[in-house]
Amino acid sequence: MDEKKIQAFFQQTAGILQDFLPPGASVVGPLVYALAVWGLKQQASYREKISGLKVWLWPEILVNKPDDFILNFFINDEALKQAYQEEIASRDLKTLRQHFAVLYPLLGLQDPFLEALFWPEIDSGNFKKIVADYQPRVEKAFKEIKAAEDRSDFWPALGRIFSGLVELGWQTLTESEVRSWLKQWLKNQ
Amino acid sequence: MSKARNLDNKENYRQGKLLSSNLVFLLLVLVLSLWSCSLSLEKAQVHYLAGQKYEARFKTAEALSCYQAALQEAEKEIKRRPSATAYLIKGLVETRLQAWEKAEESFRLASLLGEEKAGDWSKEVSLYGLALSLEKQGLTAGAMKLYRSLMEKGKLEPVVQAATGRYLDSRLAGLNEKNEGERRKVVLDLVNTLEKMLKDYASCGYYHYLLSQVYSFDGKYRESFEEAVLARELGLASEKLLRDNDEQIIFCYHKLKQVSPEEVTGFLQAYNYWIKKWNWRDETTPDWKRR
Repeated sequence: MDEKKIQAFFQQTAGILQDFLPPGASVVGPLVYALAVWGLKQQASYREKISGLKVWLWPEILVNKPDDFILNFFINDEALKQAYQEEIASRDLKTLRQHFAVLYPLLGLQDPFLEALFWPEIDSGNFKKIVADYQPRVEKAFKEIKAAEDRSDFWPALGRIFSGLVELGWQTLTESEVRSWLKQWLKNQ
Repeated sequence: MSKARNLDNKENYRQGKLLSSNLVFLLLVLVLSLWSCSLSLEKAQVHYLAGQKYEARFKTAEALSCYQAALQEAEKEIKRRPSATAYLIKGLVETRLQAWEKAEESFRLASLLGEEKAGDWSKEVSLYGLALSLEKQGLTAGAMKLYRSLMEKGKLEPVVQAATGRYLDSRLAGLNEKNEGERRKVVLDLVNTLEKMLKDYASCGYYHYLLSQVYSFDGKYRESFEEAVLARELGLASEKLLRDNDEQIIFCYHKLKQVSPEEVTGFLQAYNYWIKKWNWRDETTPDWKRR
């Protein structure tokens, strides 16, 4: 895929979203990544998927898991195992359970929107910072989207971005490729 | 002999003639607008039925797409000509999309406009909303009673499913702090509850997903794995449910791999068959997983 075309597309997308979002909004990258991933997976509708993000805090999945499931989550990922070696060694399930509630949607279920909100911390393996910052950062992101959603032309604008992604031939890329293109563009901002 | 019609003939421009041509035009507009109204309703119904067909064939993404289209058409119809049927379809679609508050309002309006069954559905959606809000305020006992009642007496399937999920999650909360005997009692009760639900809804992937989760609280990983496979094969309503179910499958794989080699051989054969069918990259990497 032509790099210039992609960069131009991201630039145009940022321009569209900035009309709806407050200055310095943190959700531009997460919104585009979520649109691109759901588009890639040919999910039904970008609107349902983005709106569905709100449901992450009220999931219909069972959030209560057995202790062994939680331990397994931390032990079978090398970076997590490293970051939580003390808690794992002492079987501090109280702490592990609290951190699991935040990290499982990001690293286990790989929600693209949440993941993109915490890319720097995920890449540096700073999982405890994610847990500490999670609530305020997610609340801020949802507030930004809520304010944009109040404008009737917000969803049609996202629809145009989604169509733009499809026209670029987005479906021929893998999720990892989308991620790396977008991260590279965000770094250059 | 009748006079030939002539554009220059002033008779053609008399008020009566103008009125009659305006009337024809208005009638034409009315017919066209009624036709387009009923077309929206018809389209909404067709999209909704197509969504149900896809759902029955476990094609979740296509089903959701049809429901979105049905919702748009129903909203169009309501803007032009609100009717019980339009609100009923809107409410049904909204329950599928889990927009509970909107669904309750749509059923209430459908009921006011004369659709009898919509009244009961509106009550069910309203009860579910009430239970959610009780639970949010920490009034768990009241919420649990409402969830249980919806599970036993509810008629609207999406509400029954949602209530079952919330009921189970509430019962499982804090289970790790209970002693072994109490824990087993709760798990057994939940397994029995779900098996009863599965008698009525054997082909519903969500109940198999729930049963798989509950089995793992009792260390029954083989049973948990089998139920998770059934859930995946029967279809799950959302990507996050599918991903959580896949994580359960991987968890069972880790646990079952630790038992004796004789016991594990049969399981590994079955495991490899399924992951190949699902195009997983390896035993612990589903197609959607990057890391």
